[in-house]
Amino acid sequence: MRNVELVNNKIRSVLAEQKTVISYGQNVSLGSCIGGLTKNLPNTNNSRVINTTNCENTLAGVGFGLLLENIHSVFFLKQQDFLTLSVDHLVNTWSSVRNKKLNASLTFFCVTMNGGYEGPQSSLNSICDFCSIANMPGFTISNAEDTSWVISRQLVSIGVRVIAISQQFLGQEIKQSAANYELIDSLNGIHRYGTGGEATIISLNHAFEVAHIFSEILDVHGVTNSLFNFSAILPVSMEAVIEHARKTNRVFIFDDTKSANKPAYNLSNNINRLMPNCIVSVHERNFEPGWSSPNEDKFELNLEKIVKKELERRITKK
Amino acid sequence: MTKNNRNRILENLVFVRIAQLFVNELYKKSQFKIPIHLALGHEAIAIAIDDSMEDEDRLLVTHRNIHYHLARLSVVKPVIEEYKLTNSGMSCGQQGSMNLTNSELKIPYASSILGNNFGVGVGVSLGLQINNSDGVTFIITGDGAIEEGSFYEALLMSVGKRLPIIIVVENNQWSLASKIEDRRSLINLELLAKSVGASYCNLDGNDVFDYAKKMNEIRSKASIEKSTYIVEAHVATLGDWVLKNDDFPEGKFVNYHAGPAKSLSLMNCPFIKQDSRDPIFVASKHYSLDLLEETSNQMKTRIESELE
Repeated sequence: MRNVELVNNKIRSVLAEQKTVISYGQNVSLGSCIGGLTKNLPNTNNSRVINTTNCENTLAGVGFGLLLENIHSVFFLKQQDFLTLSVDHLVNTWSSVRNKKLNASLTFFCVTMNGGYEGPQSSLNSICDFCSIANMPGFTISNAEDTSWVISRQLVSIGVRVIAISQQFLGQEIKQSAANYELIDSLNGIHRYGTGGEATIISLNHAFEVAHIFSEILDVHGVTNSLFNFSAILPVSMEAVIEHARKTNRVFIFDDTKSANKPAYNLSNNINRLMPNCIVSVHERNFEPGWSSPNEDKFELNLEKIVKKELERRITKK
Repeated sequence: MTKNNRNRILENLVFVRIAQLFVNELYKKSQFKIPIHLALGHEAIAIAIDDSMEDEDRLLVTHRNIHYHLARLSVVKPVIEEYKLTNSGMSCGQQGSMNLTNSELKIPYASSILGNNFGVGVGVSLGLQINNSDGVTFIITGDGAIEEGSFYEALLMSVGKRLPIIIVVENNQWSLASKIEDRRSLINLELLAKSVGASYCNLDGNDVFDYAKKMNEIRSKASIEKSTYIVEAHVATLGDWVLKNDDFPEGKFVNYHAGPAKSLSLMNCPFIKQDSRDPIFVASKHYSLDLLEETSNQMKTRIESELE
């Protein structure tokens, strides 16, 4: 069983709780139903599933129109890249509508095409850029815990937001969740993995898997740590993470966003502002010429090298 | 159309004209910080739509929306106060002019981005359909905004989903400083509508009674048949002027787009032009000039008293 089935089940159960919710987009109930993501969505009572024409700009406007008529809706997009056609409404219509008293929910739910070999026009993974330009809440889903929190709390919730789910995650077989995790911030969907107190690791966007491997390697080398995975793009508060970082004085931030506007930069600046002596390192993707041709599209880092450097630093410090 | 209704339409027509001229006077005195797009010459279509609208209908407008708000509201003070960005404005001074909306007037959305209200209008109409309403959605646009791809997108979706939507194209031939022939080929809206399964109606001549009759018929058909209409209303945006300077010693025609219409004043009551470009003048086909003059004077007095 693949994660896409887990996600689809969760979406269906949340939508089924609503009296009226419109699920719409291209091929939402036809063909593979966006790779199984939108299969068998509730189409009963007053809820509808609408297969639409290919018109992302208008479809974004449609969601705002439904919002103005107090009707919940979810606009599903096969890939995040298509959301660029909706930017006018994300920015301008949202600017005009945001100050009204809203009584309904509008969610833009897209897939981040990080599965590899999709080519140059299917490589966008920076949902933060949409959130930034629109000043709109955004959430990423990269594992089972994100799936549960984001879909339960954000798929249908008064207001407007963007959700991006990792294609890589959708295609993987379901794994047993890490036994040792807890939701430490129920407003922003920050999950903590592990309870170690010698290093603070933060994963942003879809960097969870890499950050998790790093966490395990550090553990093997005797550096106990905690990994904090952020679902929210622009978390309102990070108190629990900051509190942990105050104790460890060492923060590793993993961010796979392909953007000059990475959430990691904001976060590291904030941590340095609050704790000038804290050592913060950002492990990111850089713009590479390879992005413009089909490739593996993997967030690859030499984790052993990063660990080795850290161990050397710790020895020197002693 | 009953005599009472005809009188109400005429009064509202004259009101929308004179109220705008009052706004213009304040604008000339720099009373507003925000940009306002006056719609002098566009009154007939606004009155006709107001006359045809039922309780559950919706009207989505553009940045040039003053005529619709005045036609729906029939008073001018809340609009002026809004333009002054004061708490007593019709939207508590929070929206200004280009994005002014009012749910009580059934105007849920106004867009200052060309073509942006098409998609929102389709969503509003879909919402009405889901709520089992027979309401019709009017989407106002212009000959400039129909150049945007969103016009075609929304049209296809509206027809495809059998939504009762009336897209009203106020064709004034201008997009800011460029005329249609300066920027594109002609668009045959009738053929375009036909090609996608929508209906088309041409409104020309600025006769408010003719427009009201036709809009009522179209509204009724759209609601019953669940069909999409394109209504092309030919208008002239009045307030043009002639620019004379070293570059244009002979003078250059400047079409009114936004800002104060400096060439106009309250002296231009009841007519700005004495031809079919001016809906008030066209009303003289039905009413004597004396009556129009008298209605105009009464309206001036009424507005002065409202603004005191």
